[in-house]
Amino acid sequence: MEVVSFPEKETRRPPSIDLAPVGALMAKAQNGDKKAYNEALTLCEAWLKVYLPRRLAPEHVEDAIQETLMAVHRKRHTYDPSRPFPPWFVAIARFKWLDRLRSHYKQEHEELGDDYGVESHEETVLARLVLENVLSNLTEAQATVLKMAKIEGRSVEEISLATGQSSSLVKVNIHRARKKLMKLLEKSYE
Amino acid sequence: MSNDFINGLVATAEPVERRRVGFEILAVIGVAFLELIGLLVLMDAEKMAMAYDLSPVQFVAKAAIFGGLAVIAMVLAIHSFDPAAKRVEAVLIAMVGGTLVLSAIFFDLMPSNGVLNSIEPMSGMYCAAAVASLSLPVTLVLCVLMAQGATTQPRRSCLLAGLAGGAFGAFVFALQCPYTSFWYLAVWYGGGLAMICAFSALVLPRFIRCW
Repeated sequence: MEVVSFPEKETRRPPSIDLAPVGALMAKAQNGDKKAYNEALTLCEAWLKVYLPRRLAPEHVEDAIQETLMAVHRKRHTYDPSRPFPPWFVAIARFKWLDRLRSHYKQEHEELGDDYGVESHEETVLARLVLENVLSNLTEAQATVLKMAKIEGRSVEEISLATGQSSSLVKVNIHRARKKLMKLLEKSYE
Repeated sequence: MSNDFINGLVATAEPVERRRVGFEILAVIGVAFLELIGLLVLMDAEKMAMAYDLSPVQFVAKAAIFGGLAVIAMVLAIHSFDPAAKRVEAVLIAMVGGTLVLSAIFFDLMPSNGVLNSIEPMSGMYCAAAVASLSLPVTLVLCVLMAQGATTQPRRSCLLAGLAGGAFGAFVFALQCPYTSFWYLAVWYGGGLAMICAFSALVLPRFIRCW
C-alpha cells in the first residue's frame, strides 16, 4: 500500500482568508462596536471553515468552529491591538483543535471494550495510511496491537490470544500507541 | 450554523477592559511585597542578622540568585498567558543551569564538615517545607491571573507560576537561613522548588479553568 506522508511544513498552506484586517475590527469590538465584531467573527469563521476540516473528521468540524469562536468571544479582552491579530487567533484555533483531538481520543479510550473493533471501512483505511507512515516510531508490541485493532479490526480478546499479551496490556499498548501518534500529529502541525 | 451563533455572540458582546500586563506584574509584586513585609515583621531579627554576619557575600548571593530567578520566572509566566506566547523550554533550561552555576560559584562546594554532613536532613526538611509553603501566595496569584488570561499552554504556565512562587519562597526563607553549603541548598531549596513546581504543573491545571 502506498505510504502517505504528513505534509511538509513548506508545502502546508494556511487558509487563504486574510486575517490581518480582523485586528482593527477586533479592537473596535473590544470597545463595544457590534458591527465590527460581527464582521470579525464572520471572517474568523470563514478561516476556520478552511483550517479545521483539514484536521478533524467532518462530524467534529462544526462543533470545533463554535468552540473556537466561543473561546475568541470569552478571551477577546486578551487581544492586544498593537500586535498582529493572526498569531493570537491561530494559536487559539490550534489549541481548540488539539483540545478536541485530545478529548476525542480520551473518549474513545474510555469506550474501549473487550469487543473493540473499528467503526467503519473508511476509518480502517485512513488509520492504516497514517500507521504505515508512523509505525516506525512505535515499539513492536504497540505497532502490532494497533495494526490488529485498527487495520484488521480484531477485538482485544483476539489480539490478546494472538500476541500472548494480556487483555489489559493490549488496551494499554493501544492507548500508548495512539498517544504517541497524537504527539507526532501535533508535532507535524507545529 | 452560524449566523445565529455569531449573532448570539455579538448580542452579548459588551465593551471589555483589555488585559494589562503591567497591572498583572504589579499585582504579583504587590502580593510578594506584602508577604515579604509580613514575614520580616514576624521573622526573628537576630536570626537574620546572624545569617548575614556568618557570610555577608553568600547571604546576598542567596537572596540575589533566588530573587532573580523569581523575577524572571514571574515575567515568563505572565508572558505565557498570551495565547501566541512562544515556548520557553530553552530559557527554562538556561535558568536552571544558570542558577546551578551561580550557586556553585558562590556557595561551599566543599564544606568543611563534608558533603554528606552538610546536608543536615532535620533542618533541611523544614527548609524544603518552608520554601514550598512560602511559595503559595505568589503561585496562587499567578494562577488567578492565568485563569483571566488565555494561555494555550496551561501546564507550562502553571509550572512557571510554581517556579516563580518557589523561587520567591526560597528568597524569603534565605533571609534567615544560615546554611551556605551548595549541597544543602541544592537538595533542600531545590527540593522545595521541585515540590511546588510539580504540584503546580501536575495538579493546578486540573482546577484552573482558562477557557
